[in-house]
Amino acid sequence: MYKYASPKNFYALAGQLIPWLAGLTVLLLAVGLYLGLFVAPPDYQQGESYRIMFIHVPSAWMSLFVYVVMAAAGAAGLAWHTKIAEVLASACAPVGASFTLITLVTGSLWGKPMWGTWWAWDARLTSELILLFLYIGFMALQASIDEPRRAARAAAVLALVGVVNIPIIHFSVEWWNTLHQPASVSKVGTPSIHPSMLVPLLLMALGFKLYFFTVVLMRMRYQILEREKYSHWVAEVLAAEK
Amino acid sequence: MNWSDFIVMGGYGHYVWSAYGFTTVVLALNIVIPLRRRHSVMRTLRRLSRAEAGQAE
Repeated sequence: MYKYASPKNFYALAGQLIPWLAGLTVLLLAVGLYLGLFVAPPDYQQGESYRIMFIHVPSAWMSLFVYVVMAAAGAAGLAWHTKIAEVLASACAPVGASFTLITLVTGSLWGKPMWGTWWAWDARLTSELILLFLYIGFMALQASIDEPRRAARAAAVLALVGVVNIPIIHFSVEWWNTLHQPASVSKVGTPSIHPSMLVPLLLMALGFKLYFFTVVLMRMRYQILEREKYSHWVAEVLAAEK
Repeated sequence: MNWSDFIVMGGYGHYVWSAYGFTTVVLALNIVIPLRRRHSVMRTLRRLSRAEAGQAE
C-alpha cells in the first residue's frame, strides 16, 4: 500500500487505471441515460421535467462528496506532508466546483417550470451557492501563492473551515422550511422512489463518481510531473512518453 | 414514444435539454482541460531538461 504513496508509483498506477475507469464511466452513463431518458415513465406530478433529476441529484451528491475528499486530502497533507495528498486536494477543487455549478444550473432549470422561479434564497440553494464560493476560494487562494507546499497548506486550512457547510447543505431541507423538496432516496428503509427511476439514478450517480476518479487522476498525473520535475524518474517518463 | 415527443419532453424540452446540454459541456471541458494542460506541462518540462542538458556540457 505504502509504495503507491510515492509520486513515481502513483503516476504509473494512475496511468494504468485511467483507461479502465473511463471505460466503466462511459458504460454506466450510457445505460443510465438510456434507462432514465427512454425507459423510465414520466412522473405523475412533474411529467417529463423530472428527468433533470438524473443529472441534478448525482451532481449534487458529487459536489458534497468531492468537497469531503478535498478537505480530507488537505488534512492529510497538513498532518503528514504527503505530496500525493496535496496534489489530490488541488485536483479535486475544479472538478468539485464543476459539479456544484452543474447542480445549481440544472436545479435552476428544474425550478423554473416546477416552482415558477429560477432561484430562491432558500437554505438548500444558498448553502450550495456558498459551496461554489468555497471551491472558488480554494482555487484562488492556491493560485495566489507561488510556492506549492505553502499554497497547499493555506488552501487546506480554508477547505477544513468550509467543511462546516457540508452538514448544513445536507440537513438544510430538514432544519429549515425550504422550497427545495426533501431527499427521496436516502430515507431509511423505504426510498419513496420507484425502481424504474431509482435504478437509472443510481447508475448515473455511480457513473459520475467514476468520472470524478478518472478526471481527478488525469489532473493529478500532470501536477505530479510538475511538482517532481527535478527528479530522475520524471526525466525517464519524459524520455519514454514521446 | 417517437423522436419528436422525445425532443418536446411533454413541453419541458427547453428545460430538460438545456440542463443536459450544460452538463455535457461542463463534463467535457473537465476532460479537455487536463489533456491540454498535460500536453503543455510535458512540453515545458522537456524544454527545461534540454536547457539543463545544454548547461551541463
